[in-house]
Amino acid sequence: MRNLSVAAVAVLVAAAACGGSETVTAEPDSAFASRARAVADAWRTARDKPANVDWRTGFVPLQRLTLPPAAGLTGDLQVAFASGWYRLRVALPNDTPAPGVVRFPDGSTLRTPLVSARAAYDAMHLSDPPCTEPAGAPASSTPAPATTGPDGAVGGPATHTCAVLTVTGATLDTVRLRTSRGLATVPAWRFTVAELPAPVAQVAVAPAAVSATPHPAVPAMAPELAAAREVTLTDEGSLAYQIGIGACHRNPRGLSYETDDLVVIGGVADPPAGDEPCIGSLALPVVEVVLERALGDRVVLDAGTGRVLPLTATA
Amino acid sequence: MRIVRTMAAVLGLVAGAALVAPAQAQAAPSEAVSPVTSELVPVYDVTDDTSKLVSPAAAKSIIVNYWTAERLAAAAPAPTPVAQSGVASVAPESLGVPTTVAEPVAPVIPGGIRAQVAFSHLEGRVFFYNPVKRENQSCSGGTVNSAKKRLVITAGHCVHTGGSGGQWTQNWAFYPGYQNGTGPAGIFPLHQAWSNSRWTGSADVGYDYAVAITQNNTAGQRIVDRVGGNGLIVNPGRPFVTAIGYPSNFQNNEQQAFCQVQLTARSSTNRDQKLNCDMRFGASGSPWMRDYSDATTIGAIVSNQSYSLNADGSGPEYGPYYDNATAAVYNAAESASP
Repeated sequence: MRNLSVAAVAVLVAAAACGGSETVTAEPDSAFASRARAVADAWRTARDKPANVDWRTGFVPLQRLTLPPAAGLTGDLQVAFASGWYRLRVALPNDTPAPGVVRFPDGSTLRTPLVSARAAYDAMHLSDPPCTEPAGAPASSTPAPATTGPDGAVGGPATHTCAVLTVTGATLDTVRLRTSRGLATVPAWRFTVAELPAPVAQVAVAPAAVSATPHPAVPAMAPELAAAREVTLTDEGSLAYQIGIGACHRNPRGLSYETDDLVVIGGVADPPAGDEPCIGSLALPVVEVVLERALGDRVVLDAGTGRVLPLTATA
Repeated sequence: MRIVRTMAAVLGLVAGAALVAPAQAQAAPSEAVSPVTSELVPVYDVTDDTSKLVSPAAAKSIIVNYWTAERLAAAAPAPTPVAQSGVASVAPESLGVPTTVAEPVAPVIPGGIRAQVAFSHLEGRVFFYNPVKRENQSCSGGTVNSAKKRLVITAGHCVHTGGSGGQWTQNWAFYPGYQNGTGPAGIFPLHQAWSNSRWTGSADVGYDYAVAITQNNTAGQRIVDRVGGNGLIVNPGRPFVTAIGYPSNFQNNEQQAFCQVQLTARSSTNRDQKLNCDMRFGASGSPWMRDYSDATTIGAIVSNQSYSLNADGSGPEYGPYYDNATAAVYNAAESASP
C-alpha cells in the first residue's frame, strides 16, 4: 500500500544555508522542516570532518550491496528478495578472486580486495526460505494446533510467503553503484536465479574495504514525526519507504526536504482523537514522495536518526 | 523514576562461553481460564467512530460490515480495534505463588554472543506482516529457555491481531540483538506461534502474550544455543524489573533501550502489570525481567509490554499478569516445538 505524498505545499525557499535552495513537502516553518534543517546541518558537519577521509577517498556505498534484478521482481518474489530468502542449487567457489578496481566518475580508481562467490552469497542470504522447514516439511501446511483444553493455549501456523530464490550460478562482473564519490563501477557477483528473468547482484568488494557513512549526532526527534526506513528508489524521481508510526495512528504520509546536496525524508500520521488505550506495536506503512528533481548524487537521510538511508536500487 | 538509557553496543565476543546445565522446564499446575464465549468483545465501530464492547454476534456483524472490498483495498491502514482489558477484579492475595517455569541459560555455541556490558543479545526486534492492516509492523521480544531451545516471548498482538475477527500475523521473524538494521546472530523465522485464547478469541489485553517457536538461522543454529535464554516466572507478584526493547522514542526503534522500575498493579480492580516507563511504539513484546544481570545480560521474564492508555503510546506501559495459563502456553509451545 502506498500513500502518494505529493508536494501539496511544496515551497521553494531561497535559503542562505550552505545547501542552497530548499524544497519541503510541508510548511517551511513546520516541525518537519525545522527537523530536516537540523539533520542536514548535523550531517554536513559529520561529512566534512577532516577525519572522515573515507568519504572523499574511500569506498562508501550509499545503497544496499545487494542489487535487485532489472526485471521480474514482483509480488511474492519481492518479499523473498527483501527478506534474503535464498537457497543454493550449485556449488559456489570459495576461492578469493584477485583484487578488483572500483572506478569513480571523475576517473579516479580504488584497488580493493574481493570476496569469493560463496562469501557474496552468504552476505545476501539472510534467512533460509521459511516456507520450507529445514526438515523439509512446508510450514505453511502445518495444521493450526487446536486449543489444548481449558488452559487457553492456542497455536497458529507460521504463514510465510511461499517464495524462494534459487541460485543456479554466479559470474564476476561489475555494477553501477551510488557512492559518496558518485555513480561508480564496482566489482560484483551476478547470481542467476531460477525464479527470475535477470540476475541478482552482490557487490564483491571485501567488507574490510567498505567504509560506513558518517553518523551525525542529532537530538531526539519530536514524537509527532515519524522516521524512515527501507527506502527504494522507484525511479530517479521518487522514493518509496516505510515510516514508523503508532499502531492506532491513521493516514500516514511521507515528508521530504531537498537541497542541492541531500534529501531528508520522514513522515507523519494522525493520532487517534483523544487518549485511548492502544497496543504498543510499531506500524510500518509504505509511503512515497516525489522529488522536485532527479535524485542524482544526493544522499538520502532519515529525519529520525539523521543517518544515511541505504537505497535499494537496481544497477 | 523513569530511566530510559542506551546500552552501549559493545559486542564482547567471548570464546568458550561458560556451559550452564540447562534446567528442565517445570510443568506448572494448570489453572483453568474459563471459556469466554459469552463475554463482550471490544470492537471499533466505523458507523459511529467509537470503540465499544458488544456481544460476539454483534461484533461479527460490525467486523464483517466493516471490511468492505473498498476498505480492504484502501491505501490508508484501517483503524486498529481498541483493546480493552476485560480482566475481572483480582485481590492481591490471589496473585498466586511465584513459580519458576524456565531457568535461564547462557549460550552454549562456542563463540556464541556474549556482552560485557548491558546490551543484551537475548532481546531483539520482531518484524511481521499484519494481514488485517495490510502493512508490516514491528515489536520487541526476548528468548526464553526450554529443552528444545527455540522459544521467544513477545506480545500476543505481535503474533495474532486479536479477537475472533483477528488473524495470525505473517512472515514473522526475530532479530536478536538488533542494532541499526541488523542483528549479528542472524534472523530466526517463525515455525509456529502460541498465545492465549483470551487474546486470540476476544482481544483481552490481560492475556496479550505469546510464545513463538523459531526456526534455525542460516548457520543452522537454534536461538537459545546461539544467544542464551531467559528464565520465565509466572504468578510473579510485583517485582522490580528490567524492561528491554526497541521503542520509537529511543533512536527511532533502531537501538536497544531499557528501563528499570518496580512493577505495580494497574489499579485496585485490574491486575495488569504497570511499568512506569516511557517506552513507546515498537516496544510491544519487550520482556520485563526479574533478577536481570548486567554481567550475563539474562533475566527471568515476568511480563511483556502490551499497551499504553495514551494515544501517543507514552508511559506508563502495561503488560499482562503472567499466571498458570501463561505457563500452559509456554508448555504447549515447547511441546509443539521440533
